[in-house]
Amino acid sequence: MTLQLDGDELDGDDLPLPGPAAGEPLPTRAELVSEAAPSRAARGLRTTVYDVYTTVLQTGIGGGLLLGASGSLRNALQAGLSSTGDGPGLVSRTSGVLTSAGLAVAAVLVLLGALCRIGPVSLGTAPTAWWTPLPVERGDLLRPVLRQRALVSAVTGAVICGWAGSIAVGTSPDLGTAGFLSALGGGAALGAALGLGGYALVTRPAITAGTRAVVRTGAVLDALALAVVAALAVSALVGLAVDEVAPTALVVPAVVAVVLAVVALLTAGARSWRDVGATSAVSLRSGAARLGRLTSSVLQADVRELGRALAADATGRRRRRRGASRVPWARGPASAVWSADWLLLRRQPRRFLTAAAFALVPLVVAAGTGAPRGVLALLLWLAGYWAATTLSEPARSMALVPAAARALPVSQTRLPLLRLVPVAVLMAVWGAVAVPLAATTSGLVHGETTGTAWWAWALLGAFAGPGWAGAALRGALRPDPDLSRPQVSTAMGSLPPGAIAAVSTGPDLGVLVTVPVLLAVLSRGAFPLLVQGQVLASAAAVGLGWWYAAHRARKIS
Amino acid sequence: MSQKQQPTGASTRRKPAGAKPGGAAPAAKTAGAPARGKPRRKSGPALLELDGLTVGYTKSPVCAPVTVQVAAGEAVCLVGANGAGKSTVLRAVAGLLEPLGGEVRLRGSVVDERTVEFRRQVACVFDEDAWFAELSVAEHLELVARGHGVRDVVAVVDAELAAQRLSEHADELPTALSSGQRRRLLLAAALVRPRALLLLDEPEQRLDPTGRDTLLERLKAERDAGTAMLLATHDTVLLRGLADRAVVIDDHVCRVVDAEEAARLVTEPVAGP
Repeated sequence: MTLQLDGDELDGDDLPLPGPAAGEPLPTRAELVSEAAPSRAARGLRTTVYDVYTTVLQTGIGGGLLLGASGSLRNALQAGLSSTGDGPGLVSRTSGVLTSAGLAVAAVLVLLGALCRIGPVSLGTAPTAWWTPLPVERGDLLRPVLRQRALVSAVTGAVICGWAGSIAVGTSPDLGTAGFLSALGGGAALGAALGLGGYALVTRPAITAGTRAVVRTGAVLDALALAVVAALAVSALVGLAVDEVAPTALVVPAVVAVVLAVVALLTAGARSWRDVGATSAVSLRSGAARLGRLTSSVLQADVRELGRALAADATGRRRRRRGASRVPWARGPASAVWSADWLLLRRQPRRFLTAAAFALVPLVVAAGTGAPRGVLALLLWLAGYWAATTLSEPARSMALVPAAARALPVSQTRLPLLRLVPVAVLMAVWGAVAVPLAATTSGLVHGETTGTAWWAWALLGAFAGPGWAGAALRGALRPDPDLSRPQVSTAMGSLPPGAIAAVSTGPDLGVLVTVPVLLAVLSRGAFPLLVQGQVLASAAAVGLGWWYAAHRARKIS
Repeated sequence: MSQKQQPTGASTRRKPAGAKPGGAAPAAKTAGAPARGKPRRKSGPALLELDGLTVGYTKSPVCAPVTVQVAAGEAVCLVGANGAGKSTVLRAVAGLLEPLGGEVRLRGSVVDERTVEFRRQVACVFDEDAWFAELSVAEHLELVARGHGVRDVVAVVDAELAAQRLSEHADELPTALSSGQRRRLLLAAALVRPRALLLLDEPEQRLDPTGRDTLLERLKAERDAGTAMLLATHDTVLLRGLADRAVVIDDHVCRVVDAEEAARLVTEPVAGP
């Protein structure tokens, strides 16, 4: 076989080999980067100006929103303090500090869990493919990126903790500007140290162990965050007595604990900095693939894909007793579909925990703040929809593999309805528990008469549950934003076409389902007429969700 | 394609002769050289009919119209250069692509892949990830078999896993398999359930030599047991050993030739661009 090269005909043996000749030194990292830099820098003045403009604008908008939220929250807390009389002022402020600190810690833990799963340097797919085979010491390649990511982590930690500190301490009306700024600065410094050290800590598994260790560490961090939030919820529920605890008594142990934690984390950071060159290509590629999924899910406003990308463990192995059936209860097409969905749901107990947590949200808010009844209905709508979304995720993941679904003798029209059945059953149970619980804590259950009895609210919730499942089915197969077309200017800034539909498809049906619940909350009773209305609303939601899913499934396949 | 008729005809719970429960055909006792020649034109009504089928994307045909009939127990191969349109024809036959012209009929009815009857009768092995990523290999096969009402499922699945040399990987997720093992999983998923028609897009791809031998013997057993097959392939061994006829997919005219002629055409050098 011959080949034309610059007008000369070459045999295969004559083809020039790439790379330096024997004896020549290998290129350094600096040389490689300097060769690539001109092509990366060819951006043009207009692009640079636009980038600067966009960054300044977005930073300004974000800062404004943060300040506005801070002010509102501070005012709300101060209003709460002034209404509690003499003694409870200190108590409420202590609770506010603990709550703010707990939420900040949970937020940082979630962030660290995400960073852990992405990997120490989160290069992205293309740079990973380009860098990993390069004949350059890997540490030289990775350290600049590690430094950059650590900086981002520190700044993020500083913003979160500084904001929480300003809110918590700023609720004191007599604190003054200096005290407020001290709280802000102290919180920011602490957050920066925690973010930096925490980031360094979570890079360790990716550097020294493998992808399984990374997933495990991420799960531990998530569990810790969940535990913190659960502790806060429990303390709100049972009215944890912090009245007797003076804030000053907590200062010394807290400072010692924080100093020790920061020292430990920074030590881990120094070790990560030293060892980052030992990161395996497997680890880098795994992190890059995960980062790619994360990026696309964020661009498509798909929080479920975001969760999947963070939780994915592609190397899993299922254990079973040899010779035993894996799905003995499947006896035909319909039960095969249900079995597959149930199998996946059973393997993800965190979905049940999440649904249970959503059931607690309206309860905690109603018990802790005495929120208006309209807010209670709003929370039930959100909690119901999100719980259904969580529980229907396995069914959705199945629906997104149409080639596999075609292997079963079930028509494309019937398949979405079959997938809805297990979720509807679970949601009926969820609604039968969550709605009366929220009603009880709001004082809507008082007596045994029709409408005000516990069982009436349970009946209303049981009928609302399948409706929320129908809404989640509609949301599950919603179209993604069209990123291939020019963005559209809206009041919320430039958005890709279809972004609004991507966010609203699904929750819109949830609103329909929640209307009878709202009316019941406002009229202080789950009266028979409202229960009948709930049956109709849920039936409509199931029908519409099914129709939409069948319609969309055809397009997806 | 505007017709949405339900395919009619014989029950699809048919078991191939000698097949184990569930429709999995037994592996051949030997995997030697394929039988040469003897194209066997099956008599009887056509199970699958492609009548002037024109396929393409955005209203541009990728190849000339295809007309061919496949009877039960007959294997017809689609051959042609890369990009000739073999896979596109197969996708149209599977109902995954709207034809630009002509018709595809299964047992006399225009195909509609969304119907139960079509899904019950047709098993496809295409070049796509047709598995549930979060179910293990064995769970996937078992669900497919149980969904089709196969009896003694555990034995059938274990036998198929052994035939495809996947027993050691039964409890792994498909994403943990190599590309060749995933290919064998797709083949197993098609063979673990009853089927009247097999659509295969280059099934030999990514298989090792042992896998290719096994594939040939399995498909021969399938054909002899009465399953109709339409497959795209570049493999001359598969062509000579399995095909009764072949359709040469081309821009100008798609013609039906015998297997030997098709094998000769496949080995001819292809003109460059």
